[in-house]
Amino acid sequence: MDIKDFIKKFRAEFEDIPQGSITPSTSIKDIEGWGSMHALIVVALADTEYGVTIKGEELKKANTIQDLFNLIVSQQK
Amino acid sequence: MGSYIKAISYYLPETILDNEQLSSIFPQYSPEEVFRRSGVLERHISAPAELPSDMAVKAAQKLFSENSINRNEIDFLIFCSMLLDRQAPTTACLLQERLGLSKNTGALDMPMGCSGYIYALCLAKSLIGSSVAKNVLILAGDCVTKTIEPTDHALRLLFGDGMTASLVSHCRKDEIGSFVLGSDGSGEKSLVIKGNNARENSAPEWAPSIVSTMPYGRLSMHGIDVLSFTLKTVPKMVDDLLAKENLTIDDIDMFIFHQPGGFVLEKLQRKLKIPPEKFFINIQNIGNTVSASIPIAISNALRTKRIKKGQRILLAGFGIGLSWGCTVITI
Repeated sequence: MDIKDFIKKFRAEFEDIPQGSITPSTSIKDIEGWGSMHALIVVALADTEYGVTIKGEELKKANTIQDLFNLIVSQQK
Repeated sequence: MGSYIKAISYYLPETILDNEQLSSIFPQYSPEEVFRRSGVLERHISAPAELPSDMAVKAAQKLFSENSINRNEIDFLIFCSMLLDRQAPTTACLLQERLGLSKNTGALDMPMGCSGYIYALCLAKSLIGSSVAKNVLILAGDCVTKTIEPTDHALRLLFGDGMTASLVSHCRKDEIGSFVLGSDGSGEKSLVIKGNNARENSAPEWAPSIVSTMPYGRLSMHGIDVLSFTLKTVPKMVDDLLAKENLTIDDIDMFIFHQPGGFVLEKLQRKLKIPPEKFFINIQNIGNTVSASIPIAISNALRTKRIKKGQRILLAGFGIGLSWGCTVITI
């Protein structure tokens, strides 16, 4: 898996995010309208697309899209 | 001796909380946003003095009258609810008297939440299979809204109150199949009712603050952890049950799961690759009714002819405990 593929899937889950505005360095909490529902969507994405279970505590520590990607990769091992 | 679900009736409190009302309480959400987040249009809310046992009396009376059931034939009562009348005696004993059941009725409380109906079915099947009982009355449901803090929008959007009465009776052929059950107490903190209980009263430095404002305790949910648990556990238990029964998804006519919320249900359906027409959603007009969700869904699926007598239905419950269970029935 690479981060481009992850961003593509991430965008597909968030219809309300402007296309092209997400890069690896994007701060998750700065995404417009980001809230608790989006966190749930990320957890579901990690599970269904990557077979990875993310805990709330771990998700809180991820600041950027790159952090999120790294978290998923680290759980896959 | 085999067993089957002979009849189901349910009771919902009169008062309704709809999305317009929620939107006026939480102005950050439009009614449409409330629906998008929850999949729920309206929830029923129990009256201030109405407890699960009071709703259970109403649900049971409906069961007896709607299905011409002779209450004297009931020889076991399971009361499944997280909010019991007293610490002791068991609420089930009190319900024996309130419902005018025979004194030869075994009566047991099962203080379980969203997996409770599956556990109650498992116990009913076992009691009948071992010739302890012939007709088991399961009263399952809750007044969960009494444990939700008024400003907790995430929970108020999702949950509603409701109570069900099911009669599980003996028959020659077993219509209730095998079970897969599980529990994981390490998930205590992800879904818990805090407040008025022995564990917290034994460390009283903080308990009174909750007890004074939330006399029934306060439901606390970590949505992310509960979602992770659900997506990890439910598909696996369904796969395990299908393997145990030597069945595939194609062999099941309808999947009726506990109804936690629209989002979770959609993710489960997608992960399990269940065709949408075989995945029953019954949350719009009642919300998450805890242990009442599965029997209400079965009843509504029958009434709307989404399922027919003789079909094979897979039931799955999962939630607070953490606790989970599933089974296959022929309706």
